[in-house]
Amino acid sequence: MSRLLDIERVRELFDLEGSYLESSGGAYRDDPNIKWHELRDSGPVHPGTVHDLSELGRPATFHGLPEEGKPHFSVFSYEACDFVYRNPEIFASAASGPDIRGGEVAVSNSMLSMGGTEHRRYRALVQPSFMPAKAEWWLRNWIEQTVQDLIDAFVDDGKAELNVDFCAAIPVLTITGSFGFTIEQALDVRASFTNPLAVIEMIKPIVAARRQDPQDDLISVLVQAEVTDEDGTKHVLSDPEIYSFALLLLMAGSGTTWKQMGLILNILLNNPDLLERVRQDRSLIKPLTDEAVRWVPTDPMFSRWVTQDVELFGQHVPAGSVVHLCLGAANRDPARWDNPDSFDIDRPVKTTMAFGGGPHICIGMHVARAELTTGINALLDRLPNLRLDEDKPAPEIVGFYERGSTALHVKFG
Amino acid sequence: MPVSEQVGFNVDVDQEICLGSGLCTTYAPGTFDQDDETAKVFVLTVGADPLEAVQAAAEACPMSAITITIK
Repeated sequence: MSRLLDIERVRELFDLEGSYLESSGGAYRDDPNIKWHELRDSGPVHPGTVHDLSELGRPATFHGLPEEGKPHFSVFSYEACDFVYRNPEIFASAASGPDIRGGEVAVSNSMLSMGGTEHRRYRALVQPSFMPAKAEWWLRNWIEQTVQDLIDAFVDDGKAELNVDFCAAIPVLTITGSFGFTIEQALDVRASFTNPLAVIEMIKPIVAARRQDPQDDLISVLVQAEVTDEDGTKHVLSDPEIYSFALLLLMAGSGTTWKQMGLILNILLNNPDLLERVRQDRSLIKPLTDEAVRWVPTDPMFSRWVTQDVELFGQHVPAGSVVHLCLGAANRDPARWDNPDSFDIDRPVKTTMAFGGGPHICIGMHVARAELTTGINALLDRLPNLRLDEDKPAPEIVGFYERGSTALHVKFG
Repeated sequence: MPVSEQVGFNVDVDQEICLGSGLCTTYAPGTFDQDDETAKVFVLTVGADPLEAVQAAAEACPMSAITITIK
């Protein structure tokens, strides 16, 4: 049976250890938490970048890096990360604001780099489409069908590699589907986030079509949206504004959830008792995903740009600095969780930093959770006796700033 | 603001500050709901969820928009 997507291309694009993601430390195989506990024990805030302080041993880039010529500080405690997120006037989400009207189309010209009331006005346009009650909309329109179609492609094979055959495809098909892209275009979109103009060319005809004839999808929400300016006047989003929004949602929507899903499957497959427990009681999928994003968030670091001198938990941080929030460390803070290194789905319910915090908190978190829940349920429903393929290497967790599982070779039936 | 004498606490949401992230509704789904059009949160029923759940919601709120008053 043919696969939905070009498998070799998916492998190249989504292989954490391959060259595509080498820049963020893709080949790293250690457990960074050991070092992060040591760092937090000696102070919540340290000068330097997270990867240097963790002795990665090589340069790495991610959000807020390299930003050469600026002072860098890293934050390892939950309390200090929380303080940074809740003070966005001091800790801005970008080095400089966007230049929507005159600037190029880029993720950096989206709401990601806006602050204050401008950010709130833009986010408000799409926030209703992403609230928990709307998860139903996403499921109905895109996630459930995608998940079943993907399983159809390998269900008779008795074995599969779930990263490529399942995890990688779900989020990219969901978000590109919501933009009106075809399946064939889905991978072009994912590959193109380093080449935004190519994506824009693909979006243009869809935007034009939706202006004429709105549908029940995200592009239609964007083309119909009216943003209210500072002075109270309303305007529909211009084409550059729509394209920047689209790039942000496309990149964020297809980049992270697949890795988190792989991490959860890695944990389940390496712990068959836990897998069986969850198979028997699907209400446990919620605490399972909550604990998984705490224990190993796929993106363990995000940054903020400091707009004024500040004393940050005993560390003087001058204006112009870049602050790196080690969310992975915050999520293992013993001040907040007992036995934080233990993977335990029976913990009392408590929020984590897995989706960030403050006004830029991940807008897609509820859709991500819906994808994770739907995907895991479907695998447990349709693949009896799901287990690791004993003839293949057991999956490991790899990556530094972008963490995920190595190949998930499974057998079933 | 909805008040429940039996429950022993009040809950208030500052709609000006509210981002509409909906995180609170996932911790205390009987207490909080969101407007379909604007995503703004409003208090549905105080006492529908235990105090601990509402406290978790208030703590999770990315904008610190939820106030709980113990009576």
